[in-house]
Amino acid sequence: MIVKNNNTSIISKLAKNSYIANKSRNRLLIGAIAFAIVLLFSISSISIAQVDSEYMMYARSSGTLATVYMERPTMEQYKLAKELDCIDIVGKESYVMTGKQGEHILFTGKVVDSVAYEELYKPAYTDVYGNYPKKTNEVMLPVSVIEQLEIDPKIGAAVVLPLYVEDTGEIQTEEFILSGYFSEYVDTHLISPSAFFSNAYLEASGRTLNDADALVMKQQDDVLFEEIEFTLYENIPTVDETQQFIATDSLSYASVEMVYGGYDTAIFLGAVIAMSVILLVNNIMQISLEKSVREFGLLRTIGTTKKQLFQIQWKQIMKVILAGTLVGSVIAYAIVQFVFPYLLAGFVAGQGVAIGEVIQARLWLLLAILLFVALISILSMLFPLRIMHSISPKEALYFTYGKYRTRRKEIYSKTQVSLRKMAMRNISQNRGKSFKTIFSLFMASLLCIGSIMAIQILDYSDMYEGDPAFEFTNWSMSGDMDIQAENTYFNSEFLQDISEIDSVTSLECSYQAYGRFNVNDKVWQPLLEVDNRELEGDEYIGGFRIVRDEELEQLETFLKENDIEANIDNFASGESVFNLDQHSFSKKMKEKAKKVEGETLHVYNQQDEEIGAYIFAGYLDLQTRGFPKFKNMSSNQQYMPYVLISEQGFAKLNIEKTISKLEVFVEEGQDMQVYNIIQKIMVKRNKTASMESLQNVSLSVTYLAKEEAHDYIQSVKILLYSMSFILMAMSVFNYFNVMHTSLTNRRRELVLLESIGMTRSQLRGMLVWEGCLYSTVIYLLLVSIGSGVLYAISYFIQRENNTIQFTYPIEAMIVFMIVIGIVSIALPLYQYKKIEKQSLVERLTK
Amino acid sequence: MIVLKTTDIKKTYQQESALEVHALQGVDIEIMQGEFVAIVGTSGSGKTTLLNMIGGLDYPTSGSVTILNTNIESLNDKELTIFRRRNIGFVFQNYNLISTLNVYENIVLPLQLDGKEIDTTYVENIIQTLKLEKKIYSVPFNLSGGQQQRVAIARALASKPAIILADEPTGNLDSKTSMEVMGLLKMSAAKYQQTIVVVTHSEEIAQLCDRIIRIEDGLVESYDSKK
Repeated sequence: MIVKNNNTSIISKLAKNSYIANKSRNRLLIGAIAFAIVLLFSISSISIAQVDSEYMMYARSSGTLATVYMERPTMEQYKLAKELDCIDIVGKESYVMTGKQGEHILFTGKVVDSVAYEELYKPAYTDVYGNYPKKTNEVMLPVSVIEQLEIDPKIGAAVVLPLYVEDTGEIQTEEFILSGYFSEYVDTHLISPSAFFSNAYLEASGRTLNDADALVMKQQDDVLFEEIEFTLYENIPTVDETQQFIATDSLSYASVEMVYGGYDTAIFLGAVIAMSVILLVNNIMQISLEKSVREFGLLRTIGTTKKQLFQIQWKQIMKVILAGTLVGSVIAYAIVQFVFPYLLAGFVAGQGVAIGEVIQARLWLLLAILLFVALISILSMLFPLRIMHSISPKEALYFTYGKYRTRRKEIYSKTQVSLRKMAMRNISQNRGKSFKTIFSLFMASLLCIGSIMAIQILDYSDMYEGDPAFEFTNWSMSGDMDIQAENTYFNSEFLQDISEIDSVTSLECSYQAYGRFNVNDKVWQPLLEVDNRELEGDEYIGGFRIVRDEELEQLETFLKENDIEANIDNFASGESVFNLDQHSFSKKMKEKAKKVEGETLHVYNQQDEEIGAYIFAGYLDLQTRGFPKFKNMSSNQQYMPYVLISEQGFAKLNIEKTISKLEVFVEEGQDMQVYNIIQKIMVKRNKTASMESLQNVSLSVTYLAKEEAHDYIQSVKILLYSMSFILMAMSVFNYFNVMHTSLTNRRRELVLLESIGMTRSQLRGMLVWEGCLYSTVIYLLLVSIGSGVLYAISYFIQRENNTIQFTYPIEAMIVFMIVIGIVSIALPLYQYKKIEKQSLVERLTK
Repeated sequence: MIVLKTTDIKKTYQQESALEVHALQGVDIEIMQGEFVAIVGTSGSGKTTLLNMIGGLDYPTSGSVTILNTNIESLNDKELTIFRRRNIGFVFQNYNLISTLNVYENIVLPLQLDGKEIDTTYVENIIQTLKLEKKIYSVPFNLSGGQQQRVAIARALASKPAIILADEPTGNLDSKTSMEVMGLLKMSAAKYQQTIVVVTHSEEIAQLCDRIIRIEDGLVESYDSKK
């Protein structure tokens, strides 16, 4: 009887039978795939969440997502801006009034278009109720203003707002209807909160948004502010020389820079992690599938073609990948969507950002990771077939990873067998496998140590390390030239009282000084041109920022890096000065400002007597990337002189300095006690201090700030340590797998050695030597190449923040080395102990 | 009819110490259909290497192998695999059965790979001849060495190949089972007009064959015919 048969069924049968017969191998492969997915998804989700939380904090503290501004735009310029590819959002904004209570600015009133409100302002707020104003008498207020005005926050309620009239300098009240309110988080020391009025209100004053005061824009995420400004100036003609485009880096870029030191660092770290995962998966797959090569060799001998072998393997691959990706996805999703938020529930970073809410399981990311891991797995699992292409069926029948090398010396050696040499021979015989094993272990170890190092660098709890316990700041901007040091808040009695507190270890003072400048000096013409104010000579007062001798090198480096042709020696000796500028100049005005370099800058005292003259070295833009981070750099008013001068230069002026900042350093653990005493001293001082000095002084208490930031610090630590733990687990898992599989594959070899007379203690000794050799090679790699890589990682992270110091993660390195050492030795011994439970005969015949 | 012919087969292995090992130094043999031939030699004489060349499992350094007038060096990898499947049966010293298939499945595997219609009568006949009826659903793990080798022989016979190559088929068996297996091979050769080449180092085993080719140091020393 002839039975019809088709080829497909035997392929399926061979695939199915092989799959069933290799259950533990399949479980390992499925586990590797699932683990890789969980690892990558967790790490990327954590990374994105960190960046997102920074992004939200930036957005909320600035009160808007806008990072590009154009002043006095025309409709034509508005249209051109909208057409630019590098600009994502363009909105219009007009200023209408300022809300003021006494001397305190409550809000800046503005009218914005719907694009600006919905896409730039609203995302920076939380708890938004009601609607943007439509009617003339409607207003939308921040909750902070409502609270200060003691208004009942009710939509439709009447609110009376105190408004500052510029012309008269008086405060007038006007009644509005509350159309909505929101919570905002701006730093009121730097900017005032926004209140929104209707377009109808603007039109009632004779203006429209077509003549907006400014365009508010958002650029694409990866475009730097220098590039945006350049593009805007190139593509949009300005109406005059002074019209300016002002940009800062996008919030996304700033966030990535804050967390990782930049996009390039983030990509580099991502590539390193991905590479490690590839090595891990590849390593596990290749070791586990070694047996398949021999199976395939047998099938080839019988007459199975490569295509048929591929089909057999492919069916198994698909099952493993399907199972692995399913298990991995479910676990990964659950960890990111539920476990992390649970761990971080209740933690709030600055500006009301709840960390637990920021972490989310992004399905697109999960899908991308699934595809990536599936691809690596497929390529790795096709390894047996790749081997088949390069060897004959006979070689495949007897395949093991790597070639055996015979050493004539050892064969004919008459000396006693050396366990160490045997161990070295075992490792060097399988050079390919040993190399891949060591490399993947090295990469995994490095990654783990690197992440611990990154945690230490980015550990925000150290952000207060070295900071004074208390910091008094004099916010006076106008600079009263008559004021004597004794008349400021920080008079000698106050300073003495503070210094005499028992636990106070030291005081550090930063100084400010003011001088009068000549409005007719050519030096100031560019600044006056953008200022648009009418100024008399005796009104032109500005401040000095004294560069300490130890800061000169930073300044010199900055000048060189930015190709600024200024003689640092002249500056240091006090012959020349710079003026610090708050990014005041348009492109054309910058060119104009360069022309006044070399002119003379005169300084006068209150009696109009000239007290100093310097060569003007030029305007330095404070916003220039890489500007030296001088300690205690204060902000001056825009368009006012803010002269950068050396200590020698300032000494010539004979001007009284006053304290701008007083830092109080305290013994550890004594903050609270000292704080109580300081408060008493302040009560005493407040009775005698002038009203003005009282209004301009603030006190910052570090331990209170630390407590406020506690949630944020804790949440960042949890996230980063979780990441580190996952990486550590991956490293150890990989190491376990390699050692375990190696020993399992060598059972026959070990039993043969025992059968020909090698004692068990000798065998154990050989295994210990092998473990020592593996770990020694990894140690050497970690110390040499690993140190270089760690240094490179820290360099990238620190690039934009030179206050961070590189600390070699010596503790992490030592701990990890100990772990590797223990595992290298303990695991083989433990494995061998399990093997030797069976009798010799049983193991020989198995 | 000449089933197998080798012409000046040479095989040289290059060792990592830069020494060359000349496993075969020019071997010429011819085997007729239905012959039961033994290739005998001491350990390291090149007999297994010769078998691998004949079976297309390895590639000669020079020379040619012709089976049923087909020069196997002229075949590409796929053609050679299919040729081997259809025309060459293998019996190995360590049986090399597929551990995940039962006895019957192991026997018909080459046929199924070829997508051929299985001649069940013929297969059943082989199973009965080799006394495997009670074991057809057993997996190799549950068989003795002798039983496994009989399965291997059945597999080799199932596709009615031009030639069966047996590499030390009794190497892992005791003397009684060895004789049993050799008896089965000889009987199969007679019954199915099957050409069989056995590689062995045992003179006793070799004496059971119709012709003995003696090989030493990679060269044929003599051709002894018993007929």
